[in-house]
Amino acid sequence: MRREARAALVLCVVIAVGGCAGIQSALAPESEGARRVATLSWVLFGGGSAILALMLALMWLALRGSARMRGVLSRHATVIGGGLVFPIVTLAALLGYGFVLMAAADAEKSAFVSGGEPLHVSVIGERWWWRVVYEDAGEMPIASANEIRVPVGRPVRFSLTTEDVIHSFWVPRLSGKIDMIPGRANTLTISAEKAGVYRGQCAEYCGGAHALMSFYVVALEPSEFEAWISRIREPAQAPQSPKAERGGELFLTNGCGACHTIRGTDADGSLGPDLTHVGSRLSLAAAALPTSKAALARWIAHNQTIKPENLMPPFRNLPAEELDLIATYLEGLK
Amino acid sequence: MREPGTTKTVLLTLLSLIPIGVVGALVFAWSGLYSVAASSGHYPLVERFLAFGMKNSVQTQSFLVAVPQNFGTAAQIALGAGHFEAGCAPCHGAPGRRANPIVQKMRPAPPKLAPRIASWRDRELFWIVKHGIKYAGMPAWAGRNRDDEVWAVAAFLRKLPELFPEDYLSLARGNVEASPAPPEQVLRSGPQRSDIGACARCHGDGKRPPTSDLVPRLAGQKERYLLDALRAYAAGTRESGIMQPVAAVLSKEQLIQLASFYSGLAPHQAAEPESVSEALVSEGEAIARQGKRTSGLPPCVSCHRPGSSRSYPLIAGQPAAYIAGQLRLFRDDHRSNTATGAIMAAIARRLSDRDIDAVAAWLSRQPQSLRPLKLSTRDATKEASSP
Repeated sequence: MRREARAALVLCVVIAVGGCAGIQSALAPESEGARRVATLSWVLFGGGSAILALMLALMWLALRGSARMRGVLSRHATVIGGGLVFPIVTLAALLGYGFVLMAAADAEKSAFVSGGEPLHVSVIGERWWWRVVYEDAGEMPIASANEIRVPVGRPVRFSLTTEDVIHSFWVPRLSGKIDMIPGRANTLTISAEKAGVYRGQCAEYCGGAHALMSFYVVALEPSEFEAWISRIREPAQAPQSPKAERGGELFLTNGCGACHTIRGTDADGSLGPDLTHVGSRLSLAAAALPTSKAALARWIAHNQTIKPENLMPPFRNLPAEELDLIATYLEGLK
Repeated sequence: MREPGTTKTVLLTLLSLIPIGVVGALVFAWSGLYSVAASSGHYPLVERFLAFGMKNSVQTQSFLVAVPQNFGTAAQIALGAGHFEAGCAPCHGAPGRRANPIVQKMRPAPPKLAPRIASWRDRELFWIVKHGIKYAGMPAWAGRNRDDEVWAVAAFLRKLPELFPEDYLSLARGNVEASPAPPEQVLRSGPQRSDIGACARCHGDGKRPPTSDLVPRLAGQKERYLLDALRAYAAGTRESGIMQPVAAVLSKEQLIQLASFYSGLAPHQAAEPESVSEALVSEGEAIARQGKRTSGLPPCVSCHRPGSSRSYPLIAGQPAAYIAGQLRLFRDDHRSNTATGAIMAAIARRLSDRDIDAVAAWLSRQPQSLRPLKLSTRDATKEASSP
């Protein structure tokens, strides 16, 4: 019996600790700002645990302690000291610590600006995806969606706003969360310290498909980043096979261009995500599906099953061959 | 005062009468002594009682029906007349024409309608046409969620008492001359009739346009779309009390031939546009050409143009009343059972009433061959998307 209990306890701990790792864990920070948040969290966890332990001990003494001990506990000074002075001092100290952290964040922001021109990226919250605009990627801003690539070590200044309702931009390993409010642009500066893929999530309930409104931040070494940004500046690459070419025609005749832009083609809609380089992104539909030809075809016809209430109509009218051709074309847009 | 036991005795006696009555009724039904013969009719008292019950039922049940503001338009009357000729006249007769003698032996016999219309309110006419009448052989409307069609028939019924036979014929048979069939043909296939399924009566043909602004103009429409529509009507996935009965009786080959016939015709001249404000029309142009970003509306012409998917209809040049009516059906999820209907329904949900009227007004003024102005859309969306 004892052994089972111990096994169960170990299992619980393992499961709980498992939550500390992963590409979306606030407890595995990879930037200065996220580390401050993580430190603050640990201080709170530690302090909270210590206070809880203290309270349990006092309760035990109150129930089982000697008469002298209970006498001490019921003294006027104990009540005033423990019930009034202690919380005031503790909470005031925490508040002071919070102020220090905020000041550090501000100092860091100005250090960023003086330390080097930050990359400017606008992210606009939409129901239920992320419009991403690289504002200084060349002569013209470059639009993308649901994936943000950043250079390691260089500060990135995010202008965050929304097209519709309140969303919240949160990449736990890189920063604390910040709301996207209609009619104003909030700014957040992040500098990733290590190359890798970080997952972000909308952290403010925004309607039907909120739970499937995620995205990836991909931190690249500066040289890789430069190569990448000069590639996405280019219009979409021409279809590489007759199948893909036919798929491109079907994309246009079926009206997909009414909502989606593929630069370099007649598709110039702006209601939905820009698809100029959709084949090179990690995920579809705000991280609802990993990018693949099969996933693209499934998404086009059955998106309402995959992500209910999303604003794209389901194109169930397309026969399987045509879906396959369109998916071939889109997957080729690297 | 009575003795204490009396009230109880009376009550018990009355209660015991109930099972006796039930058993008696069962025995009577079992015996078959009551005649269900339609030939003998009802006793006058029964007849009166049934009529009394029916009248009051219609009055009460239709109490909450709201009559639409545009009730009684010429387009409704013409559409209603077209359906009346096919769906109602065979049993009820029509001005200048008696009902089928067999039908007249139904009990109750379907009444001649003209003299009775005045005794019903608009909402009551609507209710009867929509729901039918139990035990009387009056069927309910064949398409669900098509109150717009039912109102068209009600509008025609309101007009019916004023119609002379020749007025009726020109309304109901629209464009088809019903020339009497030669004896040879009568001998083999019966008298030529222009009733159920004569498409041209409402939709027109190579020479004549449709009779009503609530009827789509099929000439020059994409063949694939027409075939999809006919099949959807026949299968009941696109609902219509007018088109379902027509399409359901056609063979697969006939559906294909009809789609091919109408798509091969040269488009008719555009319908006389409804007079609306210029502001509304230009609002409609903006939506149709550029979409409406704030509502999430893509431009109509991206899909509805020559050269787009064969399943997407050409909508420019259709009458405004038809376009607006269909958009409302899409918006209210009444035309979303087909694969293409589901696409349009997802978009139409974002339309306001004003958007619908604006888009319908502008599109009805355009030629069927309307194409997007690619460059102007590009500039406009670019402007709209810059933060």
